[in-house]
Amino acid sequence: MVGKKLFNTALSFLFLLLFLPGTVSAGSDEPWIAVLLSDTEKAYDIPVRSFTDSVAMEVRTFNLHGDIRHDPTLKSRLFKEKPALIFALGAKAAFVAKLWTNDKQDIPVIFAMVINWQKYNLLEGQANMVGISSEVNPGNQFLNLSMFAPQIKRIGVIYCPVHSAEIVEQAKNAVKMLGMELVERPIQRGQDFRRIYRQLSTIVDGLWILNDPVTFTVENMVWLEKRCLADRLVCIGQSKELAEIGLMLSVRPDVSNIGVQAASMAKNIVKRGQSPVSIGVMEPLGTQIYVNRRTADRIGIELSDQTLNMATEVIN
Amino acid sequence: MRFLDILPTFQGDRPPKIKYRGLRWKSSISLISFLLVLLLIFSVYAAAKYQFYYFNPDSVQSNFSLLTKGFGEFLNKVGLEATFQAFAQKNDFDRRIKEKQPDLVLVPSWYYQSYGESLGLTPLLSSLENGKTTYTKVLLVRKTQPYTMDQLKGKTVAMTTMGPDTEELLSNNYFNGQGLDFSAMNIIITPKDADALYALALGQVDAALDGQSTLSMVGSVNQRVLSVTQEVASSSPVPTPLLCAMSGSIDSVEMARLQKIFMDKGAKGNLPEYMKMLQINGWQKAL
Repeated sequence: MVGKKLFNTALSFLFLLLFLPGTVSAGSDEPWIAVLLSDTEKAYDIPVRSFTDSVAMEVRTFNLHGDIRHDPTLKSRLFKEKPALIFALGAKAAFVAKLWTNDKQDIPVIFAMVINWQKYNLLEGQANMVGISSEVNPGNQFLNLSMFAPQIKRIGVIYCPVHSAEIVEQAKNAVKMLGMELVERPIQRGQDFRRIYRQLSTIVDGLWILNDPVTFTVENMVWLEKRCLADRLVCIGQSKELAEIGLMLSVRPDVSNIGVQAASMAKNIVKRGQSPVSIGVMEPLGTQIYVNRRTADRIGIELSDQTLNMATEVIN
Repeated sequence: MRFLDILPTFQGDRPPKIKYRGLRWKSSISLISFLLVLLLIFSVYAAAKYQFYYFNPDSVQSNFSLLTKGFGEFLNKVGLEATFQAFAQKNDFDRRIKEKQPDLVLVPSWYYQSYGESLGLTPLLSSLENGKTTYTKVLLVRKTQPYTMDQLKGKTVAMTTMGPDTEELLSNNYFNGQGLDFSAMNIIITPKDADALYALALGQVDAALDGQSTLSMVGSVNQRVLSVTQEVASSSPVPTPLLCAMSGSIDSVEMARLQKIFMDKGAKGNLPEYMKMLQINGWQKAL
């Protein structure tokens, strides 16, 4: 009789253990991270994989499939158990993560892979938003330029103030630190690019190419490749394709490191208590460098073995 | 087009016959070519006796196609049948090593300390940097924001990974007794040593941890980058990368032969290209 009572008590205890909230599984108290994707994009695969591998916390993935209305249960599923942090990839995911945490600002959000993040006002009004921008710090480009072509001192830039005033302003400090000079030429219309280039090319020894919608067109870039060779000007841009078409140097973010950088930021916030406000938006710290050796030869830039070893790829 | 040289001919009431002029022999050539390519791929892989993986974020070498070429030339010269693959990210290296176990790896010493036992790594050789089996890591800050060691608590420090125990390894081993607690700093991992230095110089982080060889290399090309930084602390000697064999894949006789091959080539006057690229100037038997 006593044995049966003991058995029943043990059974009830076990039952309680199984169904009491918080005792569902041993790991339920462990912090976990929600990865929120804008859509099923191949571009997100690498950062998600490197983030998951590096963050040392449980990761659960949620996908907006391009539309907030695609799955009406997504929000409730994501917040069913409170995530320690949301890693949002793409503009839609970043925007939705901001919207969904508006009344839950104790949940930090790291966004990445958002082109022109500034135009979405992602940091405004919320203290839980941090991010990694999609563009390399302009200083990083000049720093690499100074490594590959230390003789370059005066760099020209043609830009539209509406789109690029901020980045040009940011570039000034870096240029100063490296002992270079930035010669700016603002334009309003794409048609003015070639005329302004002709004026500029006589007074600078390098040209900085921005991803500015007014100046960065296929026609301008193809034209520029020929002009820069003729004028023996070093051009630095931000995509591998620019180095492939013939411009001397390109520095772009290392996409595989964006996940690693986000994982570092997540650990600092979740485990070390770093305040999101103190982080803001970081530039990607890992870069890929593409050098066109043929162009360098043709414009008379001698590349040392040391610097060639620093390039991700040398285009011959 | 000749490839579409298919001519229908009509013979009385019978359905038209299709003559495949040119197509048959062209198909045969395509098939033979395809088989030859397959055979070639198979023979390359069948000939590669060893799989050799490389991972070292502290190296200044980022050009993996040049490195692979340099290593290939060396392996060819010494008659070692091996394929070489370099990895930039630790997570990719970790995944690959689990998916397809290599025979030889060249990895940082911390990688061996963290994973050597679980992966079954046997260290064969220590690489020599400036003739030594150790190097120094230096903690830098910007001259315009010269944080002291005490002030670095809660600040952001950029560095390459030293594995799952990075903070403990730095605080308790390499900066032991210097009053630096890396677990109280916000660490941001960069893929390359130089990235950490650049992030500091550009004001993206408060401090950077860099290998002495990276600082020397950057300084030799552009002194200005270094001139904006100053040293806060330097580490005790950190062991240089190790050439390891995976247990079970290479026997002790072969290990001794491999040690000899690498050491002989390292000892002769002209260093192989791959060693210059990795700033290795010799090999020493690992203890």
